[in-house]
Amino acid sequence: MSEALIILILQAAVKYGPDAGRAIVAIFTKTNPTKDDWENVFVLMEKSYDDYVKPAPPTTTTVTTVTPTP
Amino acid sequence: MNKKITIPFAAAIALTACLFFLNAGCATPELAAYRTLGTTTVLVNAAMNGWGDYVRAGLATPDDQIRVRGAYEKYQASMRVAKSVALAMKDSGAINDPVWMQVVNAVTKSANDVINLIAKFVPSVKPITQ
Repeated sequence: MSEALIILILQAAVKYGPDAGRAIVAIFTKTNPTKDDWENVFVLMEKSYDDYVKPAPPTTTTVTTVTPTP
Repeated sequence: MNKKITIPFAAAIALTACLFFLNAGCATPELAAYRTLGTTTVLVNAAMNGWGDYVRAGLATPDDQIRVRGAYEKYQASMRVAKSVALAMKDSGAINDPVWMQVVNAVTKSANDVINLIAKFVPSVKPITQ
């Protein structure tokens, strides 16, 4: 594995999180990509613009009420 | 907030530069195309995630959003062409180098357009061409 590739993977992992780093490792470790590998490459680009900018789902908070015992 | 958003774009530009360097010595055109397109989708996805944060922070105007949407949809269109060519190539087993080069160049150009356009809205990010 070349030094530049290691830097690329580390940067991706640090900046974008482990998933991006893993994705790039998976891409660069293939020496003979299959049709399924190619299909997987195109999964991300199917995400629509609206998917990226949609409001974040509201965070749910569980409130536990403790009733003091008499 | 701004600092959080700028980091992925700066990294995306650095990663794109690394990507071209890494692919320079690849053995086959297919493998080079696979790596370039695969890494491009990861980078554009990261940039778009950053753009999503920017929009949700209320910093993007409707006009900004129309422009980025247009660039992203253009990128998607070029990726769809790449997908059909890649899968047809896998089915037939024939590799047409000039077609590959054209397709990959179109995708990387449109991906750079998306990243550069998004970078325009974030002052600390410089376009790839600088």
